[in-house]
This record gives sequence, C-alpha cells and structure tokens, in this order.
Amino acid sequence: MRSKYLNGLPRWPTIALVGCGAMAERFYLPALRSYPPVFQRLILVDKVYDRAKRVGERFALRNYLADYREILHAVDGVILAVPHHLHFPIGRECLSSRVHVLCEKPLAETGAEAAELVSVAAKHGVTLSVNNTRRLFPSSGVVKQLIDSGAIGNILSISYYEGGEFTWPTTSGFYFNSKVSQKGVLLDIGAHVFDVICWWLGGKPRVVSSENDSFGGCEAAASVRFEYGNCRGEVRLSRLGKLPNYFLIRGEKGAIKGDVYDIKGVSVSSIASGGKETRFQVSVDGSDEIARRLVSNFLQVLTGTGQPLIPASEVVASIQFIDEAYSEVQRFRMPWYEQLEGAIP
Amino acid sequence: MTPDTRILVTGAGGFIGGWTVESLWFHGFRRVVAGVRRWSRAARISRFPIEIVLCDVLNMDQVEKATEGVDAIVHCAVGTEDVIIKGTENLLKAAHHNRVGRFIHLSTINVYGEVEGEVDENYPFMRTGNSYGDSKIEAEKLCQKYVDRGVSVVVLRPTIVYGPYCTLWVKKFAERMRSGKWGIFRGIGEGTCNLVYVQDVVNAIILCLQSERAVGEAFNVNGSEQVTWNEYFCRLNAALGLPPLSEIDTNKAEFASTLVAPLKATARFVVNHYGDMLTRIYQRSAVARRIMKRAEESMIATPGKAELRQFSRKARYSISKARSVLGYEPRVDLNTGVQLSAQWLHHESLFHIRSEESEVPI
Repeated sequence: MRSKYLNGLPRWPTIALVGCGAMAERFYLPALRSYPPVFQRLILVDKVYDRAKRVGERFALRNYLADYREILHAVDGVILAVPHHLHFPIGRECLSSRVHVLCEKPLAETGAEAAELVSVAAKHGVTLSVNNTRRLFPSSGVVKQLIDSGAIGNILSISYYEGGEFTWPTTSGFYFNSKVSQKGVLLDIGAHVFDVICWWLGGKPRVVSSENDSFGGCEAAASVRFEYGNCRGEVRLSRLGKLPNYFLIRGEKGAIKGDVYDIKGVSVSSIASGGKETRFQVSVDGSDEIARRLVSNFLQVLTGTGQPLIPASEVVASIQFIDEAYSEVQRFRMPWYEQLEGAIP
Repeated sequence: MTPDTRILVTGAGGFIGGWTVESLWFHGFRRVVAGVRRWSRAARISRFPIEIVLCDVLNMDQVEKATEGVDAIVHCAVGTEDVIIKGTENLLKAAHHNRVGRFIHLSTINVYGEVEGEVDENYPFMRTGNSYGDSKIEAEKLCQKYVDRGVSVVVLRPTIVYGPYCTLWVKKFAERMRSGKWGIFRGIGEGTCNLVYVQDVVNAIILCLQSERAVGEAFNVNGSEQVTWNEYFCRLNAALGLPPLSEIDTNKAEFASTLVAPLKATARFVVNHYGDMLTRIYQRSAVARRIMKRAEESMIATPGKAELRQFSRKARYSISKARSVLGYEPRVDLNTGVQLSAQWLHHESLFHIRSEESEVPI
C-alpha cells in the first residue's frame, strides 16, 4: 500500500523507533502501520527490553531490542521518542553514525544542545527533522499565511494560554523526575507554543519576564512575557488546571483567535469589517493524518525524495528563547508557602 | 526523626498527601518519597526535587517496592472502598514485613457517623451507609489489628481540612460563590463547620512521627475556631472579593436538592460510561458546550441532601487528647487560612481567564 504522500519513492527504507513509550504507541506506530514494507522491517528499541517486546507483540513486530547502538549500522533513519533529556545524547550519536533522525519535540533541553545537533547533522551529511506537530496543524498554517499576507497588519500582541491537568499516559514518568531534568511545562508544552510564536513572528522574541512555581523540581505552571519589535506577548502554561486554551493575536488591522486544540482553523476579525468574525478552516482528518504526513515525509527524506517538513534548524530559536526564560525565571509569589520556607534548615 | 529518615507518603498526588510531602521537604526531610497512583498525579509535587514512585495501594508489587528501606509511612491515599480497605491492608502488611518504624494512618471524623455535641476519641464508630466513612472504620480496625502485631500505627482523624489546593472545601465553594447562585442557608447553615487548616494537619502528622506515646492511639485533629457553615461561606466569599451573599430560602434549597439529585446521578453515570463521547461532543459543538457548562454550573450550585444535613449538624470534635499527648496546637487561625486559600484561588484564577475575555476583540 502506498500513501498519497509517497508517490514515487525509489525504495522502502529501514528505520528504528527508539523509545517505546506512549508517543511510540499512540502516534508513530499507528502512522508507520500505513506503510507495511517499512513497518514489517521496523526495529523497536527500548532500554527496557520487556517494554520493546510487549509493544512489538502488540503491533505484531518481530524486531525489538534494548540497545540502539546495535542497529545504527543497519538503518537509514531513527525516530527518536525517548525522554527529553536523552534527545541530545542519543540524537548526536545517531547523527554521528550518519543516520538520519526524526526527533520528538523538544529537539533538546537547551539551545546550545539543539544548535549542536543541527551542526552535527550538517557535518555528517544527514538530516535532522523534528516533530513540532503544531507547525503541521492547518490552523497554525492559516495563522502564518494570514500574518504574512498582512491580513491583520503589524502584530501588536500575542496571548497564548494552554493548560489542563496532566493526562498524558507516560510510561516512565520522566516528566516528573527532577533527577534527570528540572524542566517542566515550559519546556514540554513551551516547545510547541514558542515554536509557533517564533514561526509566526519570523524571529525570536526577547524575554521581558518569566515566572514559574518550581522549588528546584519541574515547574507545573509558568508565565512568560516577551516582546518582538512593537509586539508584546504573554504565554501562560499549566499542568495543574485547565486554562482557557486559546491564542489571540491582535494586529493593527484585526485579530486572529484560535482554540489551541482546534487543529482545523481559526477565527479572524478585522476593523474594516466592523469586527465581524470570519472562520478560516482547512479540511483535515485529524491528528492521525498529521502523524502519517510527518512519517511519510521522513520516509521521503530517507530516500532522498523530499526535504524535512520541519528541519531542526528552524526550531533552535524557540529552544534558545525557552533557555532565556529559564535563566531569567522568578518564582511566583505563593504566600501559602512563605511560612514553610522559613522552616528550611 | 532525622533529616535522613526515609518517609513514604501515599496519596502524594492529593491535597493532604501533597502538603505532607511539601512540608516534610521544607522541614529538611530530603529523603521523603512521594507515592502516587499514576504519573499524571505527580505534577504538583514534582515541583520539588523529591523522589516520586508509583504506589497504587492496590498493587502489592508496587507497595512492596515503595516500602522497602522506608523508616515511616504516612498513608494519605484515598479512593474507593477497595482503595481504603484493601489498600490500607496492603500497606500495613508491607509495613509489617519491612519492619517500618512508624505508620501514620489518615482517617476521618466520619468514623463517628452523623453525631451531634462534643465528640472525643472515645466515641464509638457509627456506620451511616456512606461508603467513605464506613470504609475508614474498616481501615481503622485493620490498623488496630496490626498494632497488635507490632506495627507502630498512629491514627489521625482530621475534621474539615481546607487550604490552598483543596478542591472539596475551597475550590468547589469558590466556584459556587462565583456562580452567584450560592448564599446563606438560614436555619440550615447554622451547624458547626469544624475547619482545620491543612498545615495544622501536617504538623499533627509530624508530631505523630516523633511521639512514642502516640503509637496505638487515635487523635482528632481540629482547628482552633468553630464557626457555622454560613459564617465560613461569608468569610470565604469576602476574601474572594465577591458581593455579599444573599439568603437562600431553606425550603427552596431542600426542594432543589431533591430535584437535582437524580440529575446528578444521571450525569455521573453518563460521565463514567460515555465520557469519551461526551468529550468529543463538547469539543465539536459550541451549543453543546454551552448547554453542558450551564448544566454543570446548576448542579454544582445546588447542594446535595447529605450536604444540607452536614451544614445543619452541630458537632464539635475535641482535640484535648492531641493537645495533651502530642503537644498539638492549631496555629493557623481561620482568617489567615481563608485569606491564604483565597490568595491561592486568585493565583489559580490568573490562569483561568474568564470566558468573556476570550472573545475576539477589536
């Protein structure tokens, strides 16, 4: 079976899926299943061998192992779906072995690591793509087109609010392991949010202020204010409770508003029309289609018939911005802890 | 207890468990271990650099692993009848097997049933048919069984625990007040509201971890001030900066409660059995969203029958025993506790931008 995205592939590449957690099971494997010749030869890798085996059995796959190093010589590409802090070391090793990589977001934990990965890929003549899925949402694309076409004029402000109780069925719980990383929601969700903001603005904003609720662990809520030219912006993210989950971009001539979970489209209003709202929407089957699009693009990249949809070089600025937000962070004022803070020995 | 004491807190993803972990960390117990039923419950406590482990109290493998090398257990996990009874038994068994030095069991004043008057720890257990209270009675009996086997169990029976991160007595009531449909229940709301600030409960837990005299005993844990439920509503409402509450007709409240009861039961059934479908409808239809939100607001704003009974009951839970044996003294007065709760809600509301702000403005 050939997908509509894969016309004219010269051959079917061999790939390994490194990391058999929730992202592998829910996103990559269902998408990869659409390409049986690739799927049947797919190699599953997880440092917990039993997990790789269990996932392999669930998806009727025969190749699974615990150490990715064993197969780097035998694959064209690697999909990296491991915990965030491992993106850099494993990604660098794969790229250094001249293996193309599709990395889950965030590309790396720091801007320096992200830039180094891009550099290592270039040095070894391989590609590094990244799954910053929001870029592939038709709604994000519509926003980009509207901004670039001048539909709302120069951007004056961006507000982006995203949050809800953490429900992702993580298998390892690495999101909450402060021994391996103290970066929480700002890196996890922020990698999506600041990537699209940088993309929409066409550059990296400057951090004006940054607050979060970390006491040395992984922050669960964060607020960042920024500016870019005449544009002022604010992003609030939370893993603790539901936020309004919308973004609002105000321009000199109008405004764009979108639901962060509505992948299809956005509402636009313009001053000229007296504030009347118009819906801009693109037909899409759902997130499954986006996963297939990403995976098929990776297969095209591996066979030299396409370029990465989201080259890693394009997301480095957003990771650098997140770095800056972490380096300038202040803790929220939380008076209910103040008495206890006095108890610290 | 020393800073090296390794303390496992079960139910660390919850309100009291979370506060216990955080307070122990602030007090220098850096080897505190937070036990959560699933990773998604770890977001709040992971803000602190502490060890978090999976500890579903119904999963004996996880319980055994989590209790290995532990010096003390603070058992805050709560849930279904099975979680409360079987889960407590699993933990006690593991504590016995691993020779854990101290086991603090968080029980409830509900073990006394729907009593009136002054209630101390000698008051007998009374079943009411309420699953939570009745299960806690069984769990306490198991605790006693394991005291006889040599486990150093201490039981705490907190009253109405409130404070930041409290959904049941703070957030839910604040939502009711913000809806404009909540008020003072003249006649009904004059029962005793035995509020105790969460930090005082945690202080009691820490005292139990340290006191040899506490072993094998049960203690009520209450606050220092007793106000009526109406008074609590007024104070919380004022701290939130909302317009004064108006009086709600008692008969109407009781009638509405009777009327809404089957709707609440139906809603619970639908959410439990068709939650995914409901979410899809909610996401796809703006009309459905509005209807669901209104229905939810109405149901939240209408007190249930059990709640009305609770608002009218005049019971006072004595802390004389905790004072004399543990040296427990509630430190956070009601005004301070309510203010801190309101400040937390304000902080939360910073993240809950009102829907009217979400219209596309020009």
